[in-house]
Amino acid sequence: MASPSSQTSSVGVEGASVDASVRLPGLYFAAAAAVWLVVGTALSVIAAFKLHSPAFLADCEWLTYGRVRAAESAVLTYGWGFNAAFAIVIWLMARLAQAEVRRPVTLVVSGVFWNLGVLLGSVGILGGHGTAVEGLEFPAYVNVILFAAYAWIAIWALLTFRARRSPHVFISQWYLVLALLWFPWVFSLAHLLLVVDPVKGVMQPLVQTWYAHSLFLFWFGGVGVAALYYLAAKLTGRSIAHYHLSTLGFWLLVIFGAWAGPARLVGAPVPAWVVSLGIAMSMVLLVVVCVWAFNLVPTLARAAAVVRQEASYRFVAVGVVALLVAQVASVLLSFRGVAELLQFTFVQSALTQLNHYGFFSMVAFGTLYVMVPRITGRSWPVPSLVGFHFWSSLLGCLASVVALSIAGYKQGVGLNRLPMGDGAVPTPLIDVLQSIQPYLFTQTSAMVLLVAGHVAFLVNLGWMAAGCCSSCLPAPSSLPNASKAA
Amino acid sequence: MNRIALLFLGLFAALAASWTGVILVNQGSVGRLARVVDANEGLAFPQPMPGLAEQGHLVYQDLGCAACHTQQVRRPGFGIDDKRGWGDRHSVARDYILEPRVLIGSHRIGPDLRNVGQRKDGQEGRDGREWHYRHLYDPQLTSPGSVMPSFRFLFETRKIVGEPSPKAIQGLLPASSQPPAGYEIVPTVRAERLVSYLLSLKDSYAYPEAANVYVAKSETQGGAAAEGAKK
Repeated sequence: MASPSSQTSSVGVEGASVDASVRLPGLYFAAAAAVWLVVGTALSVIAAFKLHSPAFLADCEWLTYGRVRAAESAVLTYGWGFNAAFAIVIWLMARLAQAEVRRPVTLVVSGVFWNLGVLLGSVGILGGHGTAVEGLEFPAYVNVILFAAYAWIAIWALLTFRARRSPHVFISQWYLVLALLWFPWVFSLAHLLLVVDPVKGVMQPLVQTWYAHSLFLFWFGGVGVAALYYLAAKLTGRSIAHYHLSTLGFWLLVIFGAWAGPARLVGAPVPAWVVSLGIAMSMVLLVVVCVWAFNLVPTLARAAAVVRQEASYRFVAVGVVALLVAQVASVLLSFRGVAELLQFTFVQSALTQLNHYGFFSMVAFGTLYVMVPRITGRSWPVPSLVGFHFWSSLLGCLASVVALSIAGYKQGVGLNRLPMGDGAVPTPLIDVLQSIQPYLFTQTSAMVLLVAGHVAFLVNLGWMAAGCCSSCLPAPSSLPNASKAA
Repeated sequence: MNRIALLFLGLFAALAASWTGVILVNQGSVGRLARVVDANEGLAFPQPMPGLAEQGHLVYQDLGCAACHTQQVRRPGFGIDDKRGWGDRHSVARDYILEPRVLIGSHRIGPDLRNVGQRKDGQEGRDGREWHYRHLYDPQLTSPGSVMPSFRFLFETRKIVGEPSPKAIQGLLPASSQPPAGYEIVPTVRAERLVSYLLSLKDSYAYPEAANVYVAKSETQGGAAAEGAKK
């Protein structure tokens, strides 16, 4: 087995030309991701605000809470998450394969179709055409567009993988292949079984949790962990610690991961065995978490003091911590005693925030902050905005997770526990919700902080992209027909 | 880690295994549940939703009501759904077999609605319909302090032409919500469908699989539900 340090050193041979070939699709997907991120978190602010001020925009049917929440989820998943993941996949695949990107325009065309699909779907949800299936909220017609657009990007990535120059397949590539192959399978099956020809009864929630769990664990988890392995070695310039364990973690995830989805259906009217099996499989995933911890934490901890000051390193470090905490929390929340109290509460929202934002988004930010300067050959126009983005994201995420956790715990106690005393009656639901209003207000403030950080990211990225494009495009005066036109 | 064939085959096998175990096996059991024919009543349960309620199900879906409301009553002893009066019994898989889109939900910002049609029955006249209209028009009228938004866009304020509509609801509203003179507030057809759907939500039939934890209404009110369930 080759040394994992070769994962970083070997790509440096022709790294510059590979990076340059990624410029167009990389910038396109990064910019699209940043735009959707701002749109998605703006919708998060609206949804969060409505929770403590229900009269806010109440007369606008398009912005009623249920639709905004669904649109927010879809925009952040398929708009921000997938575009960022596409940028990372293209860059990492090209770098690790040491292969230049061929026909980058076709990737951009696929990306345009993907984003048109996301736009159409988001408007469709706000207009009342959503499917109401969590994780698959877009109207049916949008899924076909998304699948076609995805297919070309995935095929391109797999062809690049096939054309790799190094005979050694790095662990990052394993995770990327996992993500690329797993998503179309579960997406198409979920679309067929939930949207085109829905299965009967509680099979629908079963398929939905199987899909939503797979989407996060194998697509976002796959891309995120691939980036983590790459960046941990790249940023620190060291080998991955206990690299031999990484294969074990990978296969345990692949074999047992997808079975853990139904653990979220504790207490639901589905067969008890499938839930119990899901909980057991969740516990197996703790071994995977240990492997990730053994690999990534010592590697990152050995970084020099200078490296620790880099924004990308800090984003990645936060992402690793969030990944480990979130996976352990997921297992704890699936236990029946815990689920009895905290199921259906804001604790679940806190966990989602930790997984999707604390882990994936932070890792994606860290990767993009490394990737974009390399593919454009430029440094960030306003370095202070990078620091602002990091601190607003960290504090916003932390405040959101803490506020939602406290709110969820109080909500769970109020919802699922009788007050002390003989003949006690349940606390009225309205009183329960009123008691957590301060935390919901904190959640709104946290979302505003996140939006501010995301705008800073978008401005920085847009500025860099504009500078990059203006240097690549010929100046107007140098155009052959410019003088004639004048 | 250079065996690419192993990687692809392994991924495919793992996918197929989880698909078979989680989806296909259950499709062969809960996916094939049929209605129960009650010879005594001469009816099959669950019964299909009335046409208007089925259309209301789509309104419930497109407004995203499931973002705040679950539709699954947990068993006695697992939470206190029974003591909240959210159902005479816990939900079972057979309850959902006729629903085109199963919206069991994952958040309880509002109450569980699985049996809301049963709960509001007879509370405020006209089979609970008026209560729901008032609640949708302004939740503060029926539930002061609620965080539920109003759904006034489901109602139309229109000029009275000829006889006032028998469906007009301004008589149910306080002075501050009254329309101008000569106007009336009537529920749109979507509001009528949604309320019909809500009123249709009631799982009262005791299927064989629910019998061992079935909790009679009188027991629930007496606070002996948990004990009854444990027996």
